[in-house]
Amino acid sequence: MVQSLQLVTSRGQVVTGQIVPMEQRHFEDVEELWRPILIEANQPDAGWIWDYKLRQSQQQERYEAYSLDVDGFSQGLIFIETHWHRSQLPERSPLVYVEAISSAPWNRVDIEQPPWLKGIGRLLLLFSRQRSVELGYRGRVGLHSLPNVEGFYHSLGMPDYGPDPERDGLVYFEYGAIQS
Amino acid sequence: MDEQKLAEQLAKTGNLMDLCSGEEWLNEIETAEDDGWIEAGVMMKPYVEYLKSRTPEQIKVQFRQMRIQSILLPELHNWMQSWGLGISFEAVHLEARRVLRRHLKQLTPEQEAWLDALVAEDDQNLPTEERTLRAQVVAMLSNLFTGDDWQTLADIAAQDMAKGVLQVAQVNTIPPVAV
Repeated sequence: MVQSLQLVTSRGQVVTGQIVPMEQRHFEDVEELWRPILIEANQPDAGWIWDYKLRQSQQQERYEAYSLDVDGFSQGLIFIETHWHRSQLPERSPLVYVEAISSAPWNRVDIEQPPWLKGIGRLLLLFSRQRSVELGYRGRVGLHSLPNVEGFYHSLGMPDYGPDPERDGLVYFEYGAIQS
Repeated sequence: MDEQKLAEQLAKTGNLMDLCSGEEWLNEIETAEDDGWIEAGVMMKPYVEYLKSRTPEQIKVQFRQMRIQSILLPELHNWMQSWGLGISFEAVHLEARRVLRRHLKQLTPEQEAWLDALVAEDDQNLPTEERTLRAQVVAMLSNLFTGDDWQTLADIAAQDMAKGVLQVAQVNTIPPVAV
């Protein structure tokens, strides 16, 4: 049974969300709602990746793609790799690596004031830690933050290991094992 | 949410997502100083650049559509659950969403105004029984779908049901027994 989670809208309403495996309908949500203007303007594809990631998650066991659904469509997406990545710490323990994470456009302050939903990133990142626990990696999660988003990951107490020259200088963050 | 709390939750239920409901969680997300930008992963760069290129008018259009569909899509889903589709539900539902979205791009001014009123009603946070416009959504959807739309949905239901039955036949094929 899919677990219900709670978020709050900018109207003060508590709404229920669910994190579910990504399906074709979620990709269509992205195409129809997250980035429709690109299609209307006939702009070349801005390297959009979610259709490819959906197929990868369906074809390769090590990839998993999930959507945070609220009111019937996707408000956040996360794509993780679960077999090949290792911690950048000396122990090189296995971890869940977040290949991509994003929120729908209207959930951010400088696009919609106030943002429509709060808590998307927290929920998705906590979910990645839960997957890590389920896979036996004890909550270890790694990711490379985009520029100017580092503050979000700092606010979640995620340790920062500095710019990674192998990933365009993006800052690498890594949660360690959850200590019991 | 500190590591200690996560460790306690794992010990208690084994599920960190159990933390994502209730007053403490809601207070945490409401008070967090979080501008909503969460993107990570090199492949998200084009998306972030796209968002930064949007004009206020474009954003307003997208937001309005999101509000409208956040009401229509759950109503569509609930309505379709009463159709008795069984194993063909997912395929028909996917197509019905596409049909609805096609129609939403071709509405009359009166229909657009009705949808704006529907969103305004939703903003009032009324009890369900007082949402008179929302109570009319199924009737609106029923009128919106054309004869061709209904035929398309029926065809998909039939094809998907047939596929399901044939899969059962393949799985349950018993080799002949030698006597």
